[in-house]
Amino acid sequence: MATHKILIVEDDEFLRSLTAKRLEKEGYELAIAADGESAVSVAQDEKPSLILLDLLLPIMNGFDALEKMRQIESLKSVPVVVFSNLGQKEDIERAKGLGANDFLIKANFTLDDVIEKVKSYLPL
Amino acid sequence: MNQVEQFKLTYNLRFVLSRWFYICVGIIFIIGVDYLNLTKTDLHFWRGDDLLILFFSSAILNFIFLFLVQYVEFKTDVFFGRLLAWGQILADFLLVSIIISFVSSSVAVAPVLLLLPIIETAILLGVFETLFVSIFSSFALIFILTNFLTQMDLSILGQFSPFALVYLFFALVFNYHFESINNLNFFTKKQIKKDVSTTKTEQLEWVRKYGTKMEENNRRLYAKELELRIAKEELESLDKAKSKFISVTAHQMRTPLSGIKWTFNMMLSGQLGEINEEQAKFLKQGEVGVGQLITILNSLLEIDKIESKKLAEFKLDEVNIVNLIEDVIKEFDNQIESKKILLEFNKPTINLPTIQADPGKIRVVLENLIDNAIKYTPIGGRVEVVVNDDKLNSANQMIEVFVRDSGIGIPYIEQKKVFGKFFRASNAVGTEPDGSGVGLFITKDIIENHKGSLWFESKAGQGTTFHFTLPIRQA
Repeated sequence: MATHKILIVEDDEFLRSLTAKRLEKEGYELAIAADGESAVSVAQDEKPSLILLDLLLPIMNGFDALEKMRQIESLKSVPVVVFSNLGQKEDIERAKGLGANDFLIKANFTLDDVIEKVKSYLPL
Repeated sequence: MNQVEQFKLTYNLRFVLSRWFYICVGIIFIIGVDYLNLTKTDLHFWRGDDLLILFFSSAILNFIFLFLVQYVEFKTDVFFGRLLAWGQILADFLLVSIIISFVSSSVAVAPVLLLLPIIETAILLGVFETLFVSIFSSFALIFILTNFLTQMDLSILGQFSPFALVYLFFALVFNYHFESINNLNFFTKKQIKKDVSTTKTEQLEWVRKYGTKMEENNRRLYAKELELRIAKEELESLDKAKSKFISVTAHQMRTPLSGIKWTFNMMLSGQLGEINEEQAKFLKQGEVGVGQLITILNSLLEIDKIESKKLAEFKLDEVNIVNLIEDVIKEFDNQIESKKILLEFNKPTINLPTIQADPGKIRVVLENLIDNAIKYTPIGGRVEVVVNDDKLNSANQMIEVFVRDSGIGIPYIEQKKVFGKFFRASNAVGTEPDGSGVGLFITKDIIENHKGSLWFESKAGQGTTFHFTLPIRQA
């Protein structure tokens, strides 16, 4: 099984460490970014197989980061799962319009759900 | 011009017209008496020329009066009306005096003619004028009969002085009768005194007084409006601040709560090391507690969103309901696909008229109903949206839409509470954890604001059908 690298973009340290722990347990390689701007550069350097993207981020928010990533050739087809606590209809539509593949609301899902979602995008 | 003035003007005209008649009668009278005198005394004053002059001067005067009556009516000039009345009285007085002066010595009935101007005055003018004219007539009578005080014959004075009394008496009697006309004036005046005053100065004062009052009221209204507008703006900004506070706080709280939820979840599933049964029990309770907190936050957010939408005014437009439904159904493509649900839309074959409604609000209604139907229908189930035009030809033209699902249904004992705020059916909580129970509350609110109605039929385990009607016109 080829190991997939997943980029976690999350500014909250607690949530980030939990997510990282859970994904590590599943055997994924990880890359970490804590703000929108570094998310774009890290994504370019690390070339992850999937990006878990928060929306409320310092420096550059998730929407803008997503828009930037989709403009970069190498990141155009990387699946992006938005994982945020924003969850109004407008937010979901906006994110999908910018090229997000999926939208999960943190409070309404567990990390097990995230793993399931990630697996559905990454072939074993 | 009030009723009394109008009445007097009418009489002015009648006096002018009747004058044609008694000019002729007077002249025939003179000729007749003159003829009698002629045979007796060989003395006659009147020749045809004099009579013609009398006739033509009276006729010209009459034409002038006729013109003046038209003028007064056209200008509605009360002062001129009085002047005209005086003119007529004077003219008749002279006419009658001339007749008397030549015939009276032999015909005792001649002084009766002087009653004519007295009656005229009583009708056209007031009591004082009538008394004045009657006294004047008495003197004039003596004056004429004594041949301008040259023939002071006591027998003549004795013969005619009672006429002075008769004139006074008639003046009073006529006035008594015609006073009712002035009473009419008084009556109408009294009736409208509060609103309209007769004299120009009074009217002006009235206009000025009410003008100032209205101006003042206008100013007050404007001040009130300004006050209200400011209050409304304040309320709106307060409401916005409240919304922002709720939204920010809820989102801030959701972040750590998510972390706690996941931690409980990971510990429970043994991913962070083995746990014993007691630990698992408490962790489970902790997880449920966090779940409840998150639900409360979700409701808070949803209600706030709905309340702020509720504040927004209804913007009526012409809505093509079929197009709108087709639009809304497209939004659910992903959901239908992932749940393998068959979503059917049955529309009438005829073209429906557009309905007057707020398209944004009706969209919310459709989204809520279809979303509920999909949410509570198991995988592989069926949802049907139908537009029914049966009620299009009734007195209150309306369109009915219903959304039928093959879902879990609403338990009978809970059916009364369906439209309450925060209602969630006991069997819904397990199926769809992410619901706040305000969707139907707001849906019903929207439909009722459109003067439509919303109802449902449901059997637990078999499915639910939600119906709503919307009138074609809002008026």
